[in-house]
Amino acid sequence: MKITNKATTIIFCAVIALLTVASLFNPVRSESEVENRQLAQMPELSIDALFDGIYSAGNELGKFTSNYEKFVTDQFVARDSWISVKTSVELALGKRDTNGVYFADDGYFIEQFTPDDAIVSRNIGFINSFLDFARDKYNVRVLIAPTASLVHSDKLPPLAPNWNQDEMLDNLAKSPEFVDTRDQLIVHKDEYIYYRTDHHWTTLGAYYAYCQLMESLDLQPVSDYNEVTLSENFLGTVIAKVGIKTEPDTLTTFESKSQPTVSLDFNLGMKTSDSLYAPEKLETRDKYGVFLGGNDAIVDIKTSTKNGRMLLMVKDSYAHCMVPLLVNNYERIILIDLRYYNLGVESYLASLEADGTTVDDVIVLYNANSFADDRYLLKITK
Amino acid sequence: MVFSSLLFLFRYLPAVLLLYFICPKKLRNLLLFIVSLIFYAWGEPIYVGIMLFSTVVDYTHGLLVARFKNSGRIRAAKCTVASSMIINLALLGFFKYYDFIIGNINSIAGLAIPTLGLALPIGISFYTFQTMSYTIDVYRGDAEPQKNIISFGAYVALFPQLIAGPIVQYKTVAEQLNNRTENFDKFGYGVNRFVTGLGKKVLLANSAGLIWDTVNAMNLDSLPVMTAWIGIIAYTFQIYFDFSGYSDMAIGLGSMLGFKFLENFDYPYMSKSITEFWRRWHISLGSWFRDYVYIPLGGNRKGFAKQIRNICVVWLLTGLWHGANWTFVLWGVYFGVILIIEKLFLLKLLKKAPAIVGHIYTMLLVVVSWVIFAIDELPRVISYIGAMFGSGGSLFDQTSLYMLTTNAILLVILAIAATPYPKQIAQKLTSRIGDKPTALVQNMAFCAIIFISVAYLVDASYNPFLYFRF
Repeated sequence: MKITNKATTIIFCAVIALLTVASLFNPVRSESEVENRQLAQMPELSIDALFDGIYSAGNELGKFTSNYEKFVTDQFVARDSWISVKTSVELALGKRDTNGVYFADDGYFIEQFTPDDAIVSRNIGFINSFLDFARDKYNVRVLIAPTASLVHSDKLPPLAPNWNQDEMLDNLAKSPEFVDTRDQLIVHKDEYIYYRTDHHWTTLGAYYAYCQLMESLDLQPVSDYNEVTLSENFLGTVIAKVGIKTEPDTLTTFESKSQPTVSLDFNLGMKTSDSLYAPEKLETRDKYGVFLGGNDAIVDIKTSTKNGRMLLMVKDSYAHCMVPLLVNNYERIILIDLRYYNLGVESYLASLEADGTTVDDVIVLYNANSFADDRYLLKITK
Repeated sequence: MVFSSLLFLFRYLPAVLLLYFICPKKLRNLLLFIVSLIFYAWGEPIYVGIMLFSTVVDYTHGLLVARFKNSGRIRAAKCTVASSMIINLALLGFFKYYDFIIGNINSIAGLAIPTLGLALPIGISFYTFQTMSYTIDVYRGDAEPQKNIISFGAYVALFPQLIAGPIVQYKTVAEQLNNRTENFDKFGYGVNRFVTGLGKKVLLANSAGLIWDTVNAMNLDSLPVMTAWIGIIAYTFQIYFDFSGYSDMAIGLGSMLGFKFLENFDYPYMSKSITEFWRRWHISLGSWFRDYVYIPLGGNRKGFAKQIRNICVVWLLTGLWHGANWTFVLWGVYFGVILIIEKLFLLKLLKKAPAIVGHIYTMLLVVVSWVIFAIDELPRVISYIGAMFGSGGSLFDQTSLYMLTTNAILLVILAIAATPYPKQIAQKLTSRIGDKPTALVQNMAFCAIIFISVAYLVDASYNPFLYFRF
């Protein structure tokens, strides 16, 4: 065994030395595209940082030693490839989820989600109470879009526990104002209607829902549109949790052949714009933010569609890729995001009325997961 | 710092090995002492002071004990040993048990004495036990006093076993401290043990731990029987591979540096009785309590009643050693009671029964014991054991089946890896195909383990270490 031990010694030392040198001279990166996050940087060494840096669990400041360890791990040579190796090993061992994300068929990554039943029934109650208030004054529509885990449930791993959205949506569908897009989306499920790497629907998915929504309001949906590619390199929020390399999604927008011009006012005059897009977002990790530049409390959009019709929309980001279509049907659209908007919807509608502004249609648009999990919906009844 | 980290593998370890082997032999203990203190200080710079204090105190006590003994002043020697034990136990008691004791006094007497909430100095349970063994060994004449404080410091702070053992008794390494040789055989064997331990910890224990954490976070009132068993079986594997993996790494690192530490685990899950289990699990702790508590109390030589008392004392202490919480006391008592029952009659019956009966009996009791060990609130322990036997109201649900199917391969690997069969097969193979091909296969396997472990460590959102709190 003499030869064995010598060989083992040499091989071990060589492997350790090689990886040590490689990781020491590996160029420092500021962020990871694949993981969608900032990477730890070399911490500054000082007596303070060594001995009494702020040291408590969850504190990002940390102290030198723990920060240095994060730095070594985050900046390890060929980090992305190591993570892919780990994921491949886990898949080979039969694992079908990681960090709360299922590896679904056909390259789809679908988030595990289990809502709190109490919040679900509370939110349904808020919607019903809002409908009681608003249905006589406005054309109200409620569109809670199913997510990929319902439409693509056949792609999920065998036996994967999956929240049944149908129960909640059936409950909501008792109201005549509910626009049930489930059948429509399931009919088109073989088309590219959900991103593989992100939790949003694609603009095509949003388009099918838009058509149904407009028809329910007796409005003419745009049928003659151009599909404009915004990015062919879109890696969304879901894949970021998995942290492996994969085929990116394509991000597009739909515009009519005679797309109206727009002027936008964000958060009551804090910012203005004359575009529905924020192209600079395409250079960041948050590429979906190209629509309206991300989430704002209140966005007031005036369009060149001179039909005098006005829409108020209470929404999450599922609505954002639908707005370029909606501007074809409305002269004015106000978007409210209750996660950031601090006043009530009912009182806001009343104040618009007092100003002499006539709101015709009110649309509530969320995706099923964010609706089931929303902690701010109470504001719709205020 | 833990061994299973990129920081240790690709910063600390290469630096230490390089320095150690270019350092003249005479200075190697000094080097070991310094790098061990750095290793320790990495987690808690301030607590290095306690370790240095311990070192100086026990070094002087050791010298004093020897001097008193040689000059025939046995009483003074005894007092010195007692003084060393009191200081060590006071340190351990203060840092580990103060809040627990105060908490209990408060709840019994209705007082509100403030607790301190001090962080436990890493490894204090291990190194105080080691330093106590030193003065006792010197008193008993089992070891010569260490005249060189640097060598003694290297023993106390020795980084391979500093954080999680094995608890190295002074007499087992006394000779090696002053006189050891490093060579390819020891280094190669060390690599073998270190890499095996790394794989056990990073690939097996952490993967099993993820299953346990998922189950432990579920609502216990409606936990199906199957999920409860999958969860605790996963924990059973996690704790074994975590702890024995760490011991393997410690023994491996020691061997690279020329030391030979005693084994700490011997396939405990192959046992046919709890008595046997405790001869195979955390051997260094069992030996410590045997040599320094059980036998001094009279062991089994002073009649059956005294023996029962001695077993009770040892197991109460073993429980408490694992943590300042009543669940650990319960855990110790649980094993104490089973061991007494086995001594009374069960062991004889088990010997007559087929081996499979002993295996099932032992594993069932061990798995239940891990529920008490893993969960630190008594009501939850009871709910969990209830869920294992059906109080959740169902045998299985979709989640149980999903967990079982997606973890089936892992669970089979864990089960096989906990037996000596892979090693036995490898040995048979060696004798059939010869040394050189075996060496080739073995070295390729080591590279694969390092490679995959690094992949798991790079993506280390999950790398807990169970014995860190002791």
